[in-house]
Amino acid sequence: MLSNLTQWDGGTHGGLTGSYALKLASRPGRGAQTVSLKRMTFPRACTMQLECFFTYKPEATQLELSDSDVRSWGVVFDIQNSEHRVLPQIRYLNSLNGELQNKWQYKENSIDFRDVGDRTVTIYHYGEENWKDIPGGHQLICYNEIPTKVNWHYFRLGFDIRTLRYTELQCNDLVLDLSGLGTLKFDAMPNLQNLFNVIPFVDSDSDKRAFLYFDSILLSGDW
Amino acid sequence: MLAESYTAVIARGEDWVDGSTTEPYEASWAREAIIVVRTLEVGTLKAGAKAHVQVSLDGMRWIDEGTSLEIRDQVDGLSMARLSHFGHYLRLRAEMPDAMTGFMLATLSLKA
Repeated sequence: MLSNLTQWDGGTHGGLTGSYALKLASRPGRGAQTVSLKRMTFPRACTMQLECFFTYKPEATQLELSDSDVRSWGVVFDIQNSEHRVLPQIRYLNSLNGELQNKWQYKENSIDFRDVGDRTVTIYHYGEENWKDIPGGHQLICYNEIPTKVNWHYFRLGFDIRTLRYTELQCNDLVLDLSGLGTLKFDAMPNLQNLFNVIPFVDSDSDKRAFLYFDSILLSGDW
Repeated sequence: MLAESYTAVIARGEDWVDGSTTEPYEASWAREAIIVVRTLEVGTLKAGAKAHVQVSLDGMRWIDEGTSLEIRDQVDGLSMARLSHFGHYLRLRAEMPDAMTGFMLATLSLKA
């Protein structure tokens, strides 16, 4: 949804550069998750990157620090070339079961596809299984005192559609070389030629809603 | 400029009981809205079930907006409400007396 980040105490916070930001909101409850998709195809296999300014906060139901109430936020790409479908996915794990984690993770393995009939299969690959720490990926992201104060952060994630490998991740002043990391990888599937989806997600680690905001998402590549 | 518009599915196949609410939806950018409630499965619905529109400035504290929709007791039964001048967050609150339940779809169509 489109939010102007209005808080009960401070009024409208606004986006980074204007009034509005893209908002993802989970339901209340530990493990509750929400996902948003932009479904595209790529014109040409090339290097590409996603850039954004983001912020996340729990719903301000308590005037407490609440810094461990959001579990994680992350980005999944869903890409298919002529041979393979890959689901590169990374997340910033803020907290797990109430314990601060403050680290970037990736996933190489998930669960099996499930047949949902009419030649269609599905996979829920957003679960807690098989997340692995990205080497050097510990990072403290500014969390400003209470849920109603919001600070924006820069993020980019690069991927090479020619090689189906990550390139780099950057969050503020942390830059990580991801070129050695694997992804979820399957044989190419019917009907998904040149598939290219971008999928941000956020989940809660408390009984509160978790909110993820973007002020602009820029996708660029050597298309 | 074309007016921005957006339709959000605020309940997608949910069992409503008395007091059920949809998730808070931010609509500060919109000038008008149409809410449609559709009965997917009748469950124990009878006449008298309603969905009340509520507004909130913070997504946490809710005020009845004054508009109510009938919840139909037949499959694919529809009801609609037109809203304007509604401020920030919108949601529906179900009033379903006599322990009624129904399996519901609700959509919120917004326009700037």
